[in-house]
Amino acid sequence: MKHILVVDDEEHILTLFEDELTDAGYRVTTADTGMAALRCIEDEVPDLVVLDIRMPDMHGLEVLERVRDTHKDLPVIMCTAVHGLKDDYTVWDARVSAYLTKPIDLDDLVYKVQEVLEKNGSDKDEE
Amino acid sequence: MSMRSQGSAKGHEQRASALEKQVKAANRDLQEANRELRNRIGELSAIHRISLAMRSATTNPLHLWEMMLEEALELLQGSIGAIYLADGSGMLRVETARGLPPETVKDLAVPIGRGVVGHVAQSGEALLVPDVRKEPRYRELVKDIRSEIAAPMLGGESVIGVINIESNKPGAFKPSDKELLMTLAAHAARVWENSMLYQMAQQRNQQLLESYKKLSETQHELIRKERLAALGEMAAIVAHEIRNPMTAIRGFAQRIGKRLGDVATVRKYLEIIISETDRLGEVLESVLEFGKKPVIHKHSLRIDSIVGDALLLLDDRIKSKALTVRKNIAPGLPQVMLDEDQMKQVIINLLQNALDVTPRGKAMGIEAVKDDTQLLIRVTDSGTGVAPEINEKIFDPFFTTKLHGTGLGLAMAQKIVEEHNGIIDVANLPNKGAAFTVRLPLLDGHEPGGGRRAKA
Repeated sequence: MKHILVVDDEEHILTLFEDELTDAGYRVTTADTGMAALRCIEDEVPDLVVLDIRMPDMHGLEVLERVRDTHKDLPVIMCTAVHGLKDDYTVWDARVSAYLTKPIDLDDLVYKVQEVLEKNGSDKDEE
Repeated sequence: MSMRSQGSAKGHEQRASALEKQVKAANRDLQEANRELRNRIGELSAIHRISLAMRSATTNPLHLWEMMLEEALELLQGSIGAIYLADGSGMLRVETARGLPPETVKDLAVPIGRGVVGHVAQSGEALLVPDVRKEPRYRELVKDIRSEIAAPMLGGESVIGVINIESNKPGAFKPSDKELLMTLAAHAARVWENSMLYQMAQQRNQQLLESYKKLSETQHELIRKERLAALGEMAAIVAHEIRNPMTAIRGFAQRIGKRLGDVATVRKYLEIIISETDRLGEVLESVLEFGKKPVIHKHSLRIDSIVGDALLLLDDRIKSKALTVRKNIAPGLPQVMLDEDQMKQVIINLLQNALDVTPRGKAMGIEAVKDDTQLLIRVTDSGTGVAPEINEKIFDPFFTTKLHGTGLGLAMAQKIVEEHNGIIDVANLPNKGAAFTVRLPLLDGHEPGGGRRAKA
């Protein structure tokens, strides 16, 4: 069973994603701050991270940077709220596996997670 | 005796004729004086007429000059008259003339220094030449001219032109004529100067109007762009506040649809949907509220009851962060005219902000004191203080350093405080943290902050 870490500072969003992804057959852990997320990843590397752009203690991009320092290939799906910002992230395209724009449709969430895990899994198989 | 009577008869005759001669002489003198007087009156009338006409001559000096020439020719009994203007290249050109054929006038130009006119232009002094034939240095271009009289038109320090009257009779002009012409020349110069100044003023005015128009347009453009940018920014922030609850509401509704049998979970989801919907409602309300003009109903109130209520409302949140609240309400504070709900909203907002930034277990404070002219309500926190660059923006609508929230709290607080003729400001505390101070005037005619408003 694949392990997914969901990072968002809003409790209801965490509940929502956790419930949905659990139903979809994944093991889910959650974190509501950037630091907590990094700690979780250190404790146990997940197979995928769903990461919100805004966190109370640090910006989502910073979390991404730090994750990439130690885990180059860890797939990350970024949740952005503002459409325009996506354009700013062309720099980060290489480091972000996929984007989800708010308001997030649950079906999109599950679909993207599956897609990224498959792609990553097949990449790993090729190595 | 007979000698005397005989002598007296002859004497009478002699005396009578002598007397007659005296009377005749006196009569002639009188007539002369009369003529002189009439001349003078004529000259004065002419000058008066010209003065009156000068008032409307700012835009077209030429008309006035023509008029002057007419008057001058009539008064002085000249046959030719002309007004020359220096063209800047050492030549004097005819601007207007009388008694000369037009073809002659067109090409008539005199170098400064040549002839009577040129000489007057060079010396700056009026000249009367009784007979030009007798003075070769003044030989003129026009035939048959004998007497000539010219006066300089002075503009400041320099000679701008010459007014010139000629006659084909020698000795036609008197010294008093020269004086008259000098007076006319002075007037003509003044007229010309005024029209120059007027033209310059017109031009300058036109330029200024155009610059102003351009500036005004640019300013409007800038304001419009700024407003659009600000609106864009605001919209982005509010949108964020709306998108998150939307994600939750939609998501949980989706999940309810899939598990209608699981009542407990459905109930939990429904509660979340309701609370997120309420949250959206609040966002909407605060945005709308901000757009409205606040309705203020003021009553004379004590500040400590409002502060007390506010603290009570936030009590749970304060306790959950284990914060200490230092409360200092000075004794004997006067009552102030306040809208209770609005002012409470302000204080709650400030306390909430302090609550948000003060770390767990630390202290925040609220105090109410007065000085000579104002009542001060100050909320302090133990946060990281306010960065100088956002000092100005912190009260702007939709400005927020928080992740959530519309950024309207402080902006609304400022609006309310200003409706109470007060001001609100922020300053960093020396040992970490910030202090937000609301200053309300105590007496009429006093501005908070210590200044006195000028009496109307």
